[in-house]
Amino acid sequence: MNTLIEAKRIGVEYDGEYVLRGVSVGIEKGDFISILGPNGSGKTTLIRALLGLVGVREGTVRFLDRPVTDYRPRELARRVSFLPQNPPVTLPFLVRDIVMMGRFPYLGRFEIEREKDVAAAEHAMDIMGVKKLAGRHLTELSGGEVKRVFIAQAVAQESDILFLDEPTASLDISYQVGIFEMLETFNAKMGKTVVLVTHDINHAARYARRILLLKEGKVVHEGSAEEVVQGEELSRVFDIRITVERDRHGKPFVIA
Amino acid sequence: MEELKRRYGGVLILVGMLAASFAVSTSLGSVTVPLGDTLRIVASRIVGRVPACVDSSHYSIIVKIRIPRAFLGMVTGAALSVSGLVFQALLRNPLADPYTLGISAGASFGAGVAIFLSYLLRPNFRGLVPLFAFICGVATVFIVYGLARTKGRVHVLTIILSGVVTSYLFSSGLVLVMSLLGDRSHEIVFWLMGSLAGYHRILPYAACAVVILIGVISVFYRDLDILSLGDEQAKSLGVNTEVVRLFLFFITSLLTSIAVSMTGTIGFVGLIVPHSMRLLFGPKHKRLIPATVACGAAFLPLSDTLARTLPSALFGVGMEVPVGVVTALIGSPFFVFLLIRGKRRAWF
Repeated sequence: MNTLIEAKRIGVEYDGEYVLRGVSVGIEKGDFISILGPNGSGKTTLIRALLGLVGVREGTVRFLDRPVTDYRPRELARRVSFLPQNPPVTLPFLVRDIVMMGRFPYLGRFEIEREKDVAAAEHAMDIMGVKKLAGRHLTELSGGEVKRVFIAQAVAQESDILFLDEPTASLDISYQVGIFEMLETFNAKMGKTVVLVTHDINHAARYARRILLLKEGKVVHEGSAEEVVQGEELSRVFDIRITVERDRHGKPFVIA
Repeated sequence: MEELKRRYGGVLILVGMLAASFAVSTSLGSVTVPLGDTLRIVASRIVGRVPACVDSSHYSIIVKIRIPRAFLGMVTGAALSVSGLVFQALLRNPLADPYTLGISAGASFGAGVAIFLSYLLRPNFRGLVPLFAFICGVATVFIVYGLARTKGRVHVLTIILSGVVTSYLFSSGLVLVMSLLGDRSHEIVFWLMGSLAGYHRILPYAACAVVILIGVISVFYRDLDILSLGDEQAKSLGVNTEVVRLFLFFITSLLTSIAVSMTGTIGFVGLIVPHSMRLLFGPKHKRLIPATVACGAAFLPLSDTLARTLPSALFGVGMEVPVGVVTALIGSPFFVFLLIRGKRRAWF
């Protein structure tokens, strides 16, 4: 197995309080990981720590056997892209410009966009089905379109690891399924490693190969959907009675 | 054709505006020189010959007074506007400009101290006013940045807050200096209101420095775009946010301090020009930086011309109003107009 990112017993604190403690995670090449957990369980902090966006107080995060903080942002950006929870939507950038920003880590300071950068951006918009929006302003788009545009930006970045923080939050069901299907394609067909935070246990169970269950800053369970999505365990973590059924694909789904 | 129009239309308008502003601000004044003569004189200066057919008093008014004054206006106008543009982008705050960040107050304080010392010690200290203003302006930025830094991280909102705090501190320092000077404080008052009237031997050098600094900033046009998405995303797109922000903050504070050290504090330019350009040209700095330079360089000399000519044209009194009054008077209604017109594309 190829370990891309390895976190060993990491602890992160904000204002003297640990929001993450003693967490060890290994992300392998080709993984599709969903991070689940109640609000405030440290999900977002975990991916921020894995990306080196927040410093760890304890433990280490290594990316390809080098501390993640040793990398220059440009260098890391060619390998890993990240979709934050709330991408800004108030700026009247054109969709095309937003996607082109994904090429930043490849462009020298005195370089203008080359043909292959334009091609990569076009390709990314194609994949995400936002090509017809290319000339529109970000401010005119719906929530689902904005998410797709920013995923297209991440695709244009041509990294092999994709981190997403609640990519489907506040989207209607067709967009939710659309985005998860897309991520599955990225993972299965294009060999990208996908790590995402979500509140949707059913989607996580259906698409992810591996699930991390977080509670109060600790990983309480880790494994395949079948192993993690268990009524008792989930009930304990979310403090509510949860029962698990099987869907027609034989995947577990939950009813609260 | 449409494509050409879209791409170069704005550039043409801005260059035209700049040229018109220069022509108007050199020919209008207490003595009005016909536009044709003005252009002839300007052209002759470029070629290096004294034109035979023009009134010699007109010639010296234009060459010795108006051209340097218009030039000073262009340089400081461009510097203040670009400073505002960059501060707003770096701090993702529409209110960030040389004033809210305390740089102007710091520079004013420096100038006030130099003026005070010139009374106290020796008059030839007067020549050091711009230098004092410049040093204090740059020093203020370090104070503001230092205050906003906690545990090695700089919070964007805290910078604005510490800018405001520092600004108050220096303002009260300046009031103290003024009260110590008593009746002789009018010099500081004049300085506080800002003026393009001064003659500055350093102007050509300052202009070169401004051009170089704006050039350096221009190289970061992509970083500035991406920083407006927020630090986290900027970083994951490969922008070294901390380093870029600190560097541009420093470069921009030099730019502001150069402007303020020659003209005193002229308000509103750093807010109005960049915001107007954003509303007209959108958020991309590749277009915003040149547009802001051109517009700032055109706007300030024009405002100054109005400040020189309007009082006598309207009331028949031979006085000048501070140029800052005019920038605010033209600026704010224009800004409101743009806001209403461009609400759909408003920023932040």
